[in-house]
Amino acid sequence: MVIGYRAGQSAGVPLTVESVQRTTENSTGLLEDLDAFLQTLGFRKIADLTPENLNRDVTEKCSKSSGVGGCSASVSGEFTLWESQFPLMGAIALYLEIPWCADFLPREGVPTCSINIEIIGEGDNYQVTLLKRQYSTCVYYA
Amino acid sequence: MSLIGYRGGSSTGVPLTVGSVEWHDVIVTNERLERSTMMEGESQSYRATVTDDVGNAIQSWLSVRLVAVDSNGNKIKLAEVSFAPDIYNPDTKEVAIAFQAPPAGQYTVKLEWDDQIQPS
Repeated sequence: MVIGYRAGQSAGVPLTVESVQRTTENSTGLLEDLDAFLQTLGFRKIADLTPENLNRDVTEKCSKSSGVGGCSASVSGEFTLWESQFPLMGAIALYLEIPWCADFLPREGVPTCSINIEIIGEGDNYQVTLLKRQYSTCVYYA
Repeated sequence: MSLIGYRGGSSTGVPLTVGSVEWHDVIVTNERLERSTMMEGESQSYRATVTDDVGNAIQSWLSVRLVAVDSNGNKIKLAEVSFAPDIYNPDTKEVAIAFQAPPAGQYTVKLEWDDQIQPS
């Protein structure tokens, strides 16, 4: 007497497989938030915030720049993209670039990232924090 | 004119034993994944409790396929394993099969197996 097993299959369990969208994250939501905020302060937008409109030479003047795991972000100033009546704020531009961030994501778990934004208006003798926010889950999936 | 004839007889013979097969169904319960959502390129394990229809542990020679079936019925083979000790614990009757994520999509992950008889 030998043992045999009849053919069959199990009921199964659901599985969702997601792909990482490898992209340069330009944080559309962040820019919209920033636009709305600056407008409440009386700013008038005079140009679109695009890489072409930014003067890359002055990016090095940013006061704060940090990155983790290959991601980097920078805050730049002194662009004539916004104008306002406030003398201490001639113009502010913000440009974030996180190239190929997905290459540095952990292979286990759900990767997320956060970006801390702080915009400081500077007068001759003082500084004023104009915007201080944290944006999370900047990397998204297709 | 003479004709050729053959006398009746029999050969010495060779031994043959025809045995009976004790057929069993395979019962899979408590199927689970470490994560129900995963990323392309990731690995994880499928786990389940597997017994025969009378509750006994499965023999180590049983071979099964772990497959992912999408909503259109398309099937992707994730792994093909036998119930060796590194895959199946006959004491707990738990099987653990590692696999890599198939392409992005929605699937049902299941075990399947063909009719199999104990090897001689």
